[in-house]
Amino acid sequence: MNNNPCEWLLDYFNGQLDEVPRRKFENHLSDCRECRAELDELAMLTEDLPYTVTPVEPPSEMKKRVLGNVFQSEKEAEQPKQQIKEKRRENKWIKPLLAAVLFASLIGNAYTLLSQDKTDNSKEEKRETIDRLQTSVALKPGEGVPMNGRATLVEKNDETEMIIQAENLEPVEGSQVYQVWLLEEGKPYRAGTFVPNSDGLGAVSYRLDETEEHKWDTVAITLEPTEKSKAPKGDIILSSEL
Amino acid sequence: MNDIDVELYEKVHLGDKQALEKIYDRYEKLLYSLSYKITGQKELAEEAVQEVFIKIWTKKGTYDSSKGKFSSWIMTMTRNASIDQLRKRRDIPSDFEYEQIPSESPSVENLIEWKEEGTMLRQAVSELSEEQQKMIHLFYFKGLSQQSIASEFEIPLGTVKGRVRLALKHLRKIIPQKLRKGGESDE
Repeated sequence: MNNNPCEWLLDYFNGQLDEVPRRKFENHLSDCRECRAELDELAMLTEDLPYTVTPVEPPSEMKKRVLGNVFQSEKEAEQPKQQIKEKRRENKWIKPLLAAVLFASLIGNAYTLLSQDKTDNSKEEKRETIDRLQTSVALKPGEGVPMNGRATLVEKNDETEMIIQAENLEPVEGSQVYQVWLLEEGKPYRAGTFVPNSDGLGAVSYRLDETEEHKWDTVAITLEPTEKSKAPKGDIILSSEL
Repeated sequence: MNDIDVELYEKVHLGDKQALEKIYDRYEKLLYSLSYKITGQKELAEEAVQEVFIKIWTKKGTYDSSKGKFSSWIMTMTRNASIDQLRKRRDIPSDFEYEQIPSESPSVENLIEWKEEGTMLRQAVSELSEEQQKMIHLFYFKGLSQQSIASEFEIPLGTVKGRVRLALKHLRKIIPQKLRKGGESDE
């Protein structure tokens, strides 16, 4: 692939870039006024193209199916919402969240890992929460990296939690940490920090700040020299589009 | 027209199911037709449309009226979701032709823009050279990579962007001025 990100514009527009170049292009976009202008122009020039399609009759039951599926997830999340609020602040949602995540067939070991950290299990058993899986993506490893992981967004009432799990992680040295980032058009935001256990398993949960409107497009994990990095210094170890 | 969408969208944001249903009714056929044109398969088209509405309902996709028309936003989401469906199933032979199922009811009563502009736009596209029509089809509706377009047309990679823009701009020129006025974004 050509090294000049300006040449990637069409592939970016068509969603043809893999995670790493995509992120690189988005970074580039914030610096390159020409590319931004070209992208806007492309959007403008193609704006009416959908209207050129020949009308096709949707299947007769499609509306029922689609809206059924759309609302179904909501139904599951709608039930008891009260009494949960206070406890949630104390991070006690980890276990039920993990259950939801594991249900989606994830890394079993991380469950054990986190359960061990919890002392007050009995109380949690009683608490019911109805969480809704918003999205769950497999994290793709960077080049030559044997690790894998998963990022899961779970909606809890009106808030969103992100759970990251990863395995086969290299042990950290000194003050090193694994840092999770959420990216919005190439701009990284810190989204949780963790260190792996001796089995190379790591997990972290993070409550997304919903006071600001964000359109997260990418989640990525880097290995950082310290827990204080304001922007990624290390290479991307795992990442995925959201 | 856009006002209705914005109004409905705001209601959806407050959890109004009926508002979502209304948006669905307004856009079902257009989005399905668009997605069908891209994916060439009924199942994939339906899945893409469903993905779009789940994103709207779960507020994962957020519409910002300062950035343009609601219709453009929802159509772009549908295009992206459809290309994504296509990409996920690369094993399916990427046939550039597709089977068009004729619509049983040619009237597109729910979306006045489509009704008014559709015929004129299709007319405009047909006035392009065959090569430019193909260029737009492969670039916009098939979401091909720059490399694939270069191979398909047997042209140097570096010229693809220019050719795509030329075709799009040419189309833009053909589209009558009066249509442009109605179709301009709100910015």
